[in-house]
Amino acid sequence: MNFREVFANEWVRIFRHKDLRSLLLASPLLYGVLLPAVYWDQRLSDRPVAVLDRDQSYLSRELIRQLDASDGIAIVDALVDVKEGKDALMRHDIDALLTIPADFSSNFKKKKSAVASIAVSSSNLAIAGPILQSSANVAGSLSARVFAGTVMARNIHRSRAEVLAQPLIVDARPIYNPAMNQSDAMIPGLLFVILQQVVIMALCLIMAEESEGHLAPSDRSRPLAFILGKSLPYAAVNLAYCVLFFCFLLPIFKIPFHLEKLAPFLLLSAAFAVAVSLLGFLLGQVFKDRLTVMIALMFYSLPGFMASGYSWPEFALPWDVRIFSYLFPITHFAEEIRRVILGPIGPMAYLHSLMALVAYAALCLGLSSFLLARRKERVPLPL
Amino acid sequence: MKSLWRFFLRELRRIRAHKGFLFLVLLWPLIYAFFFGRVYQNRVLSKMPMVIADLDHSQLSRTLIRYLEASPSFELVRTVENPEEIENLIADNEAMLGIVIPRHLERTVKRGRSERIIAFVNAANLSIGNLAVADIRTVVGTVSAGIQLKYLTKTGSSSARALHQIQAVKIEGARLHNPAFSYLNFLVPGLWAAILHQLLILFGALAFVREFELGRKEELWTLAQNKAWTLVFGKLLPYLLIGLLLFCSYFLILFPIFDLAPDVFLLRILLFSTPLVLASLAYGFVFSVLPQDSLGSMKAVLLLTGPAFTLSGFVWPLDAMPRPLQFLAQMIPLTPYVSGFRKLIQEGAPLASVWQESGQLLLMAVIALGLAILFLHRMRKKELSA
Repeated sequence: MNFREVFANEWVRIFRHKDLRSLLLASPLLYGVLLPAVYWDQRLSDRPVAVLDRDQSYLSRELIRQLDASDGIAIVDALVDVKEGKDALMRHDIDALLTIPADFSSNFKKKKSAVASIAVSSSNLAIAGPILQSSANVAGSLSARVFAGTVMARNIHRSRAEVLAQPLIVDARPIYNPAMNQSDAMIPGLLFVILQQVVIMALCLIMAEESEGHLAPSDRSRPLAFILGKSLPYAAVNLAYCVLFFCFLLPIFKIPFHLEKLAPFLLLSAAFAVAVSLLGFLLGQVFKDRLTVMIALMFYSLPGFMASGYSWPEFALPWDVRIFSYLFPITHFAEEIRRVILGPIGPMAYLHSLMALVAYAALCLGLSSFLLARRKERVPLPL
Repeated sequence: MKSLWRFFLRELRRIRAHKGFLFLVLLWPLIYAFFFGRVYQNRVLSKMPMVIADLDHSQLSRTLIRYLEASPSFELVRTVENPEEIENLIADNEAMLGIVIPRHLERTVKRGRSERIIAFVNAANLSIGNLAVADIRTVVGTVSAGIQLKYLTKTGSSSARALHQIQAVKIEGARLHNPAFSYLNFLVPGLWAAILHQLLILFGALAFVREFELGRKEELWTLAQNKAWTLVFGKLLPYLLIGLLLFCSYFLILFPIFDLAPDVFLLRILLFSTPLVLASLAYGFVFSVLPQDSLGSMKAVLLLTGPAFTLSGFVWPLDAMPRPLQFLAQMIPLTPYVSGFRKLIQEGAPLASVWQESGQLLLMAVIALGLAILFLHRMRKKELSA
């Protein structure tokens, strides 16, 4: 069989095989909607905080009001004793407890710093981060107001006093994700991990089914035609899903869609799709039965994602994990495709990713050819 | 009792006879979990590659750079003259953040005007983005406070009074349970719980269907004296023991290796983990009895365990998810488990504080075991009548 015949046969199989159809065509949609929907709120805001106000002064009320108005915090309860607060924290009814001591405003009047404390459980960093950030911002702005007032008392004009209150201002410009949304950061990676998993599993399952003798084996007389003809339909499905996700799913999850990014997106996604399919083919030669495929690949996607540098950056990974991560196509793709989707990607980073994926695909192709040839040699000659 | 004991021995022999399964039961959980610990072994992000464009070249700008360099979060990898280069370097992944110190910074500040320090941060990755923005603000705030202090002392305030005027209101953040903001402490115990949850459901799912496929159905029913509950509990006990041993091995081997939860009381954790082991195995049993073949069982396992960690609320809190997903998440044993697990392991809560989670897990176990018994009973009834 030549390439065209193998390629066409595989397409027929994808559409006729019930299990393959549901795995390859339905599950990316199911998971592609389900998992990103977790981040529908985009980022954590208005986390529940209780207050123990022992001062009950104008200043303490002003602090509470400003904290409540901040993005990260919502004051949900006023408590009367610490134990109540500790219990609520332990039960996770609240995320933090703000304690304003009885001498809060009197210290302020005595020209000492008025110190409140916020106890936050940092066992979940995603929650603790916004709370601490909001409280630092509120304390900073209140202090700046006080400072400006002090300076104004020395007959200095208000505008000058406000400047003196903040001589240096940080103008933070978050690139790629200006609103610092968790959804923007996580969803692209999740979608491509799902695709990687589904495509590899589908290809391995179909090859294992052939090995088990439940399906007619493909003609292997021309190894290159066999490998490419068998893998590329899966790469095409993968690419089609990439486009579908980019054009329709990402906008649903409020991740902006820019048509001008479609070309670089397509090129990188195509390289990814081919690399993943060829890896699927390579792994498909290793497994002998479908049960082993399903059990083994159950443990494939999570470590691949964790080590890819997508959530925990590559420079912070230990060297051995970094080397191991190169075994997963997602490592050479996830971070770069996120940059393509969210903002500008430099030509070096883009080329680096593209070349890594091409090299990866070539390596898988070479190894697959080698394994096929070796298997062919081992076949005993008929008497 | 005798039947249960026979089942127990038979199951152990079955595991021992299959090398792949033995590996999956004994070694794989440790290797797999070790890998996740290793990913986060550095615990916190440090030495984020930083570039600086110092357009002022003054004493103040050098002070600012010194402070930035002193921060453990940053590592100055390059200085550039053109601020536009910064965005290119970030886009090319050579830097994670870039600081632009504007021209005439010192002169502007001395003239009593404020000046903006521009910080470009790669916020595509929020671990980097959040930490970088917070630390830059801290560093610039410190230098800013120094300028204010100088001004106030020059204009007649005492140092102590000036300090009050600069920081009139303070909110001290008390970081409970994970003061270093370690990602290892935050994420890895939950990931380990997810691994064991997945493995236990898998063990459960392989318990019946594989034996039926291999033609050992009659042998099983004979051993169980045609009683569905004997069959289910006969299969449950060995895996319950294996599950608890796996939890023990995690707490006795992996937790000390990664220096996690040193004060945790093993018996307390085992008591709380028992309902999870039961519930996970019971879910697996249902998946093992309902589908026609082991592939169907594996599909069900994948369908449930694939999204389990994301839905569990361990990272992204449940209350921030859409309601249908919250409901769906509550159907998965991992969700109540990680909630209680975090309380016990990371927050040092007493066992009594997780009664709700334990109750939910036990309820799941009872319902799923009941379903497995019911399906097996009906299956046998049909077979006998046929």
